[in-house]
Amino acid sequence: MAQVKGQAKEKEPHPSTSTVYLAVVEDVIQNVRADFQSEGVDENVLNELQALWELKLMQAGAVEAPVTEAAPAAPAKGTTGPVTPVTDLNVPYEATEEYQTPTVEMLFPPTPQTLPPQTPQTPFVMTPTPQPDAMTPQVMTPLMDIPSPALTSTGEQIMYQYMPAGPSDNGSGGNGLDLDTKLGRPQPYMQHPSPWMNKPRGVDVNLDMNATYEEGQEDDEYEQEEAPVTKDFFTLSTGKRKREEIAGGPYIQGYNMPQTDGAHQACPFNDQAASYIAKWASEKAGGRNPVTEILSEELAAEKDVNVQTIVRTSSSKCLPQRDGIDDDYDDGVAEEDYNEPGEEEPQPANEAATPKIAKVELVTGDSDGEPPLNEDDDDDLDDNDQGDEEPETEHLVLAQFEKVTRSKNKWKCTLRDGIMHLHGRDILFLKATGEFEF
Amino acid sequence: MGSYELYRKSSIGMSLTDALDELVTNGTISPLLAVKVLMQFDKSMNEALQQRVKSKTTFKGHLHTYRFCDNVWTFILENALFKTDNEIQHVDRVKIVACDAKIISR
Repeated sequence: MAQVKGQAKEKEPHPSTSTVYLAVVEDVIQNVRADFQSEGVDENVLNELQALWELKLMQAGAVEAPVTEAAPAAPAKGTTGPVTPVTDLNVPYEATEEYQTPTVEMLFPPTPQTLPPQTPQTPFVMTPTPQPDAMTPQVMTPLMDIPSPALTSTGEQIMYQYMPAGPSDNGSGGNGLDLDTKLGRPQPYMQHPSPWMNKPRGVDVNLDMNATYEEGQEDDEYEQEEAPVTKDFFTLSTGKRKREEIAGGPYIQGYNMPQTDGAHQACPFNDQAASYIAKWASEKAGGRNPVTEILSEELAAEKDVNVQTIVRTSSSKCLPQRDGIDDDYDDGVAEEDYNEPGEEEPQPANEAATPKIAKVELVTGDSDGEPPLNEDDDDDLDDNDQGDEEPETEHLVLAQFEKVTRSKNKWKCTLRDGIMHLHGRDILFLKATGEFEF
Repeated sequence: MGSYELYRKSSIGMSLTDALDELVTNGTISPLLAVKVLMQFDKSMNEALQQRVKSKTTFKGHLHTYRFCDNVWTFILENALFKTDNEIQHVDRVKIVACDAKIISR
């Protein structure tokens, strides 16, 4: 049949799609030959191109019978197809599947390039780790008991520092990003995001942050940073917890967050010491465990709504959710206000923080509530998008319009020189008239 | 005589694009030569449709979306019926992309 088709190409008065396609292939190859020669490309390459093209055409089901013998599936199609256009009806099933796969492959490979940007971050992350290690051992050695093993293992420390750092920065979500920001930027930047973001985990993070930076920037930053964070998370606690509160017994409840993190050992010795202990304990426990503990405690202490929201955020993916929240709020409030003023402002920060928490809740709640709404909206949009995308893979008409008219919701159009791809099969038309209502 | 690149999106055009991609990727031909081939395809395809195709088609459907941008009409029809000489095909949704036939001098 294929041979018949090949012969039939030029002779048939109403050529089938495949004959037209094969004629186009032939025409293109012949007309490109000069270009190939001028570029010094071997003639075999041209033949290779033609063979590849025809092979792919047959795989796509666009050409029913193999002119070249390459296509395996072709013969069944070829028998029916070439003689009369009616036979084309039988073809579509296999053709569609085959056709789709190549298109998908073609389309996707270029797209997945998003990943690379993250990779560069990791090296940055690694670099910071040595600093915290140096810091920690000094503080930790006095405390000894639990933290010491964590300290010894540099690898673990790095990991843990990682974890806290991520949430603090706001994130962009990646741990590496956070570390980078810490190292590269001055502390004030770091501090700002941390208080907002840290609520559940924030304490650990802040501690870590402080530890790393303490040598360079000691007390002031501590107080500033920690205070807003603790307040945010613990509505009960006040800004300057660590030094005062830690020293004093009564604050322990409010201070529970950091201590629990340190839960393994965290008892208030010195302000800095306590913070370090908490850090180490958190590190040992692993980034996630302290968070859960903290959350549980908060749940008991605080209202269900806040806890639930926090838990949801933490449980699902702490980093991304916080990031989203921080992003929204950091811009306006966090950075300049809290860091620069110093200790005095932490209180307003607390006030501001609590409403922010409420906002966060709202956001999460909205997210919970809205997703259906948003999803619906998206669905509508998706429908449009899908409408754009799906027809391309499934049913698509490419043509030229001669006239398009509309009266009210009645549309009429005349098309010409069209290629219809319906149910995996190509149909050509010289003219087409369409009527449809909107 | 100009010719639209529109038909590169068709199965025959995609097949050619795939084949050219392979040859360019493995260094067999230069990208410039591949572009020349595509341009020749545009020309050949436009000519073939005008000169070799005689069939006519009518179609109906519910217009889901219409757009006219840069002299290109885009319709998305739902529950569309396509009638050709000897067959009727129904599709749930079809996208129609049509360039202006008048812009290309014949």
